[in-house]
Amino acid sequence: MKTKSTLVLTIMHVVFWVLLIGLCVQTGSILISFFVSEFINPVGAQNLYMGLNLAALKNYAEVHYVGVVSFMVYFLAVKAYMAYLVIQIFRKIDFAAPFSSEIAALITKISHNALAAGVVAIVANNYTKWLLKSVSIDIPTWSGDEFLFLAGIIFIIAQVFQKGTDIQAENALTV
Amino acid sequence: MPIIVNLDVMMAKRKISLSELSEKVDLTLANLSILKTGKAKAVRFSTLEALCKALDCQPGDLLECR
Repeated sequence: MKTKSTLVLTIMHVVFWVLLIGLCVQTGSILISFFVSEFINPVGAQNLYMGLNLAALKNYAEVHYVGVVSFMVYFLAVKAYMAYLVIQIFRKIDFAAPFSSEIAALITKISHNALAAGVVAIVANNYTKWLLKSVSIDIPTWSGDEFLFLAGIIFIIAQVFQKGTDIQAENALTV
Repeated sequence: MPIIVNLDVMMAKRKISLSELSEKVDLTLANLSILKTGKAKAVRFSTLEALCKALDCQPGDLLECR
């Protein structure tokens, strides 16, 4: 059982590293393409990343183009940051005494980020819906509900972890 | 904390060192030190019993509520 969970955790650690690198590359690519389309060659908006075409939006209104790209960069950056926090948990956790205030703080930070992302996703979705009324383009959508659901679950886990930390500290001081 | 552990007082009365007591009650020096300095959050009945037997005293001699 121990071997199985150790193997799963090792695989997850690797997966999160791959995720972090992938998300960083994606965020960086979009940012570079965005700067190219803004300052060097406006045609770059036709293929921001992997065929993402926001040229019509750029032609319609520069402000909205910047807004939509900002939301995209924000969500990718938040996901990358959350993956980074998970890697930090893997790095710092000691399975002999897993409950530490440091880990609890990291889990809480993940839940706060997910909550912020959820709220921003709802705002972004309403913004894109409003945009689609004026211009017919293919804009990516974000699911705020999923982020909020995730934030709720992780927050509960963080609270349980915090309690575990207290109990572990008390247990360590029980003679 | 209003509960005071008078282990050092009893140890002085019985003229016993921390390492001697540690051997007698089968507790680590670190744990005995936690108890002696009042940092302990809880004491097991088994520990209390062992301390009472080793120091030939009552729980009330070791613990005090202020």
